[in-house]
Amino acid sequence: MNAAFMGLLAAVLFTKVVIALFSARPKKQSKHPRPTDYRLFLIIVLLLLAGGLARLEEGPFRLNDVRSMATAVPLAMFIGMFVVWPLARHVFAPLGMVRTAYYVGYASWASPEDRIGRALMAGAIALHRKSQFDAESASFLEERITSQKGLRGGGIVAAAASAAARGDREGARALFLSIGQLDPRATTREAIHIAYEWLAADAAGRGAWQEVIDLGISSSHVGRSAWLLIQVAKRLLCKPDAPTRNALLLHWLFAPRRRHTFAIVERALSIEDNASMIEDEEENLPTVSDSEGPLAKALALHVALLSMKKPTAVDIVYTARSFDIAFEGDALLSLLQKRAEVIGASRPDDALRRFRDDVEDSLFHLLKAHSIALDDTKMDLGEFASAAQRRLRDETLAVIEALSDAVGNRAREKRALSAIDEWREFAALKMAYERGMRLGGPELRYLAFTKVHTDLSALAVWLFNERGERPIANAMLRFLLSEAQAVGDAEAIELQTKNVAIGV
Amino acid sequence: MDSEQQSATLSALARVRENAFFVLELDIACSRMEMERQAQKLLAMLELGLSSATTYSTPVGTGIRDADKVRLASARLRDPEKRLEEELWARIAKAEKPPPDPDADLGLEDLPKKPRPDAPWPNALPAFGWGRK
Repeated sequence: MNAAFMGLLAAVLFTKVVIALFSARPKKQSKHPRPTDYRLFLIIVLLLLAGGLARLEEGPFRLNDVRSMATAVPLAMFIGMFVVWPLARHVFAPLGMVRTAYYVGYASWASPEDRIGRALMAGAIALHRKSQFDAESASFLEERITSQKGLRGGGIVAAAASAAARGDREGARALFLSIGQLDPRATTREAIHIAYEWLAADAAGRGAWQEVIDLGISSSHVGRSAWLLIQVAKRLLCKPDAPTRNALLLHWLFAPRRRHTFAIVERALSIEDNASMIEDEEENLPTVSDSEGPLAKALALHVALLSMKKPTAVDIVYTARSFDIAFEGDALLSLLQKRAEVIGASRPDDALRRFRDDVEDSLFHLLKAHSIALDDTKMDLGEFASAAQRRLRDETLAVIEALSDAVGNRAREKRALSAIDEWREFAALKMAYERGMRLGGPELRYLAFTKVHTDLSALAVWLFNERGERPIANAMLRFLLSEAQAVGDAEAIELQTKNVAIGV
Repeated sequence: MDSEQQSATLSALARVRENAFFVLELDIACSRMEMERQAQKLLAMLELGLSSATTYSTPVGTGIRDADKVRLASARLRDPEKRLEEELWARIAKAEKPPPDPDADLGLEDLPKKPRPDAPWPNALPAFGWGRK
């Protein structure tokens, strides 16, 4: 009896600790609340377990004894919930045992809605821990990812990790980022943590520290690893809200893989508290005199612009305007006609047109390479810059339309892809759309939305109603709803609000 | 910047670096005869392996010269239509550099530069168990 009482007491205390851990979240509206509340279920299991353990004090197990079985069932549930998954995630995955991690992860009851997804996730992590890329194990996982029905967060993270293991960083980035689009009920906190850990480490590897900080803004539940990198990034960029040295050390102590991350923490600690950022040497266009003529000046500015690491919109417009001046009137054509007479050329206007095309092409590539949007409402762009900007807008819109068409046509013709490939198409379309928004402004956003709304709605409805892929369909509808709100399309807002409300 | 865009920028710079007038070190008003003579001279120098013939200066830096580049440049200048285009690109002005400040040379340029604290962390992914070092 004493043992039963002690067991119950221990169970209640343990439950309280677990509840406290799950409740220790900021009070503000979270983007990723815990998908399902298991607390009551947990309490019942723990109480049964405690009662069962107390029963053990009274004698050995017997198969025909109801009280013995009443002990065995919660014990098995306890093992399934708390032992099997950590074994897959923290033992077999780090050892690089892909298949074992997958099968043991599959046996876990910790996430009944996404058992396969979580198992695939454990397998995909294991794939990264092998000393060499194992194509056979990768194929084993990818076959299962491709054949998965009812795709959720775990499957998407596994596909992203598998792409990263194959060296497809762009593909992995798009898939990991797409996790944020899912309804919180369609993913797990662990999947989100893994995704943000990879995204933060990938950005840190590229030196994109601001991108690391932005991850913390996009989600409040990024996990301990990503959170450590966010704090490191804040110190490296000398942000006003950067943690103090002691606070950073504390973050590091709480984060995993401390031995491996100490190098970057040490670098961040080498910066004084409240230090100010070392600014890049200012990069300016050189001064070029007009003495050799406007064309000579424009060309000199052009080559200087091409050599700049980070040209600004003003640099590009200034250079483009200098070409406008060079092309003003007929002076250049007259000069070319005179030279043509001397050397015996017959088509000086063709040469001038090709030269003009080459300059426009070069300015277009500069805008595209540096993702610079020229705003004709704030600057007088002139002919060359306008032409380059127009071409950039047209190309961006054409890419969005092509991706959108592919999705819409397939949905209307009912040509199904695997769920993960449907999601990949959506992720690619969303990335192109967001890039278009940055480069083309509100005008392009509205044009693109009209097209994307029709095509993506068709795909999402088909996935939802006929193919049972509710989580990913819901994510697509959520994206459409947020865009409808951004462009202010009342009809689309009403339609997508209803669609999203149906749930996952 | 992705590799496609980087190659577009490099090819735009290469258009200036490989301009026929710069490769042959000729003025845009040169005659056909001058061009042929200069090409022959450079080819002979290259054949003899003279180091002075292997490089040439352009507004975008030093170019490496070889026999094929010389032959290609002279071919472009022989065609009047192509020569017109080359002339346009060769009309580039020299950027004015500010005069050096004599007091500014404290020898700081010779000191090894301290890496920026926000430099990339190449081992970030392996540190978190993603990929191999």
